[in-house]
Amino acid sequence: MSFTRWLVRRTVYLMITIFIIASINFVIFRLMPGDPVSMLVAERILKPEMIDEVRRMFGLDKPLWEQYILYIKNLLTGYLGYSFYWRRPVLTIVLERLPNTIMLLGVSTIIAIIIGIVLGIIAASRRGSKVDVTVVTTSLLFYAVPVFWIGMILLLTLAVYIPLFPIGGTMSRPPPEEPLASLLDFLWHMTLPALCLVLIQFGSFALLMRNSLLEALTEDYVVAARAKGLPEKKVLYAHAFRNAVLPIVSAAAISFGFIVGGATLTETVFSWFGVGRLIYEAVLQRDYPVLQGVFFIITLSVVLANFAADILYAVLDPRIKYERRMV
Amino acid sequence: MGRQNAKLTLGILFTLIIALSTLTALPMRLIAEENYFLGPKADKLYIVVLTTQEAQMLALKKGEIDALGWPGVPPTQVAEIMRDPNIKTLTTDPAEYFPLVFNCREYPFNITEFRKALAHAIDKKKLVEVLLLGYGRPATSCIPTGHGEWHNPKVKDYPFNLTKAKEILEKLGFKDTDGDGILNDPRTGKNLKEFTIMIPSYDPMRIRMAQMISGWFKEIGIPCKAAPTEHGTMIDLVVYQHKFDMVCWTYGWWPPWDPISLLYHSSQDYPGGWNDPGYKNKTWDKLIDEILTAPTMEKLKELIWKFQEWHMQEIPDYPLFERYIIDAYRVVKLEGWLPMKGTGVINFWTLLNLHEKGKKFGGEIRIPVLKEPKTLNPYKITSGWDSFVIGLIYDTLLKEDLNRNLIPWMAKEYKVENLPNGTQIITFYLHENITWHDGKPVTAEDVAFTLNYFKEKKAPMFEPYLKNMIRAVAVDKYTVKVYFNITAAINLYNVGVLIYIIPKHIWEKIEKPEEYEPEKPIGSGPWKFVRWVHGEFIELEANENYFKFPPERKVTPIPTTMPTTTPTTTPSPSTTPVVTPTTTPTTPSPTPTTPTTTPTTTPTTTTPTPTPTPTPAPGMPLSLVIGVIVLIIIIIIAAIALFRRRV
Repeated sequence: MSFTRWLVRRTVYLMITIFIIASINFVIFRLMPGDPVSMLVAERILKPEMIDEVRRMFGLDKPLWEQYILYIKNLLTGYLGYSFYWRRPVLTIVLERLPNTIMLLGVSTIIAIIIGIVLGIIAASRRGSKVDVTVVTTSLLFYAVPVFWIGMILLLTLAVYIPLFPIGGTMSRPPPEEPLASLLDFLWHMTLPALCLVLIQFGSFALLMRNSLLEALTEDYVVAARAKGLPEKKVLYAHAFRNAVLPIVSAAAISFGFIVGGATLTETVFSWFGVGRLIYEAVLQRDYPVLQGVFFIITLSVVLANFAADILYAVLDPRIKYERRMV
Repeated sequence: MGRQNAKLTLGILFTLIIALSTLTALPMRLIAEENYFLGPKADKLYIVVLTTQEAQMLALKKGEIDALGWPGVPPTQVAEIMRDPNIKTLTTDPAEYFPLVFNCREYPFNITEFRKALAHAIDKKKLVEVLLLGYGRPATSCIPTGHGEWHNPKVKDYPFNLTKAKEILEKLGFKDTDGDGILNDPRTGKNLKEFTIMIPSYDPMRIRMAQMISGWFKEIGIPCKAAPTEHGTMIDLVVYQHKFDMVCWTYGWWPPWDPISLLYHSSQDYPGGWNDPGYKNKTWDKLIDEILTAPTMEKLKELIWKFQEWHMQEIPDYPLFERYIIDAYRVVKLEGWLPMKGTGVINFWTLLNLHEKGKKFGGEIRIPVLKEPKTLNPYKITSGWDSFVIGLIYDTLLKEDLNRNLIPWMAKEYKVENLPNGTQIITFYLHENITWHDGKPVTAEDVAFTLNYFKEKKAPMFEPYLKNMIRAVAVDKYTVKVYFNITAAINLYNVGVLIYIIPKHIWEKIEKPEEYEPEKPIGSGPWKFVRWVHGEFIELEANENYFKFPPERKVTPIPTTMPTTTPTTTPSPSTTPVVTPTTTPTTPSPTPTTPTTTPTTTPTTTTPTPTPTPTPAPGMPLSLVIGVIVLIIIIIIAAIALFRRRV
């Protein structure tokens, strides 16, 4: 079938997937033990007499299927719910924090991918050498270390003992006035959490790249290319790398999908005003609407990223399109 | 002759003593009146959001903040903090304590003597030593020492005595008939079932405490174990289902009659109610009602002391220990820290009094909060974080000084009249030079409006305090009469100290206060709102027109009449921060405009007070960020596409 037909089909599958995700999202939060409104009362935020009114306000007194219809209708208009704790629409709360999270996670993921790719190539091309072993060990080490520990170590070393960076937040208090200075201030505050995230993330990409490249280097066309007399560099980059990079594209796409979920632990340690910290605070407060809304956004983002990865894969790897012809 | 001499010397001695004592009393009054109560002395106050205690400690070490917020320094870090010469620590008696709450609805905890036996089996001194590293003390009453005069120090406590505990249990009929070390239930003859002490799983200190207590209980033959439970589940089991044996919360809040009337009144024993132990006693109910209607402060104190004695005789919950509030604050840039009873060093008076070291005025204060306040609308207060900041922007008629004594504040005088028909009238006489942050004067109309408005609109935080109030009336420009249907001493406190006065000219137009989020809160307090960058900080600046502003600090003459040209600060539609939905939010509502649109230019004004800039969105505009990321992805795809092999 043609590329367009394939694209349309994938889009339809996407729609169905999103619908199923939304439904599962709804079911999960309704199945959870503990009535969220009673939680508000028990926390002494509301009085017991208000419980019925609040239940009515959030539509929790209607039968489940009616709530479901309402939920789907709301989603279609982009209304994600109303937070118990913050008393504001969930979408507003999330959108307030989204730019910070996307900036932080976006930049650190990109840098982690680039570093991972570079290290992976270096390690694979010098297989068995000291460099290779070092790369593998450091990758595993930083991948396994707990995020908040690295965050706190960075804080201690680079923010307290050698006071180069601030303790937390996205801006100085008060922030500078001019836009350029304010942007630089933002980047200065972003350095430590971004560093923390890069350290955590580069490992998986490095190992993936290394393995993929090692496998590609055993292929026949590599032997043929070497036999032709091509320099090693050209063999590596022009032939092996192009084929080995495909798994990285998939992994990168999914990573980008998870950007909107934020990095909960990192954002909490660095007091970064982002979606990750929102999740942490909402969990503490049992704020189900916020969690429901955020989870939906995350799954939506991952599914879309996956979809984009599929298209990218089809663009990059000509073999895939040809396979489709046989279906 | 000798006797006359003796009388003379005695007389002279007597007069000398009296004269000396009055002399020593004088300077105290002068000091109190003179300095602490004038302010604010600093220029700016930043409330900074730092979400973990570790981040706050590091920021304190670095000097990015000036003190630690609640809950202060953990005992394990005290030694390290004390080594830093720039930081001082202060321990304060807390208004909070840790009790072991028994479920008095279930056997055998419904037997008072059984509870007393358990009380004898707890070594409170050891708990303080091990869990708090000594930074605390055993609690002896349900009103802890931080409450000052309300705490009854004469209440008898239960000394740690395992033998006595075993004796009491034997007398009750709990004997170990089968010799396996576990006491047997006199009703069934079988071993007692294992009891659980429920504690929140997020607090390792309390988990350890439950383990220690279980150990002692096991020694007297009561099988017991610690049960760390998730917070939500704990609330469900304890507050709603009343299914528990023992639980350890923390109790203690202000004012002292609040916890008494809620925790121990039989009417509060229902699923979702406040009476956790489930203890019902008609005599107690009578005493509690008497407390709520005590006509004078002295009688109130007498009754509260009596209640503490009764409480310790029945111990529906057994007070274990009080944990000191350990504050840490920097002494390099700022000076003027004042400790307040039951609260510590971060309080209204400290913030009023702090100023640059070596000078008399000036400086910037940075105080952290663990959780960002949710609102600056007094109607919507739901947590201590909200009231902390609101209490700086808004003001109250009376205040508690550093020793928790009631002092006149916005009201320079007050008069309490108890009428023979059982009602009460409290008259407040306001200072005449108080103004709102927008320049308009504060009058009795504002006070009367505030009280009536909060009562009418049933403000969740203030409704219980206004329960006894019938109506508030402004008699003349600076005199308010408040009518109560009961002659209770707590009325004065409830209305004077706990209710924030709001401006009538702004709030009379607000029909739905639960949806109102003021862009720029206008109060009459010492700190003026400048801006709130969500998730980051709240900036406040000194209110130069504050009625307690130090006179020698005033430089620019303050206009006593309203400025003739009023600034046009009507916010343009694109900057409305939140469009909150109507009361049925499940119906689809339009997506509210987000604050990420670039703010409009501030209109120029001719008044001396600068108009604040609308809060810029935190971080970068969403469109820019997404654009950059998409651009990078496109570049990468293009690069790969350009270099791909053509098969």
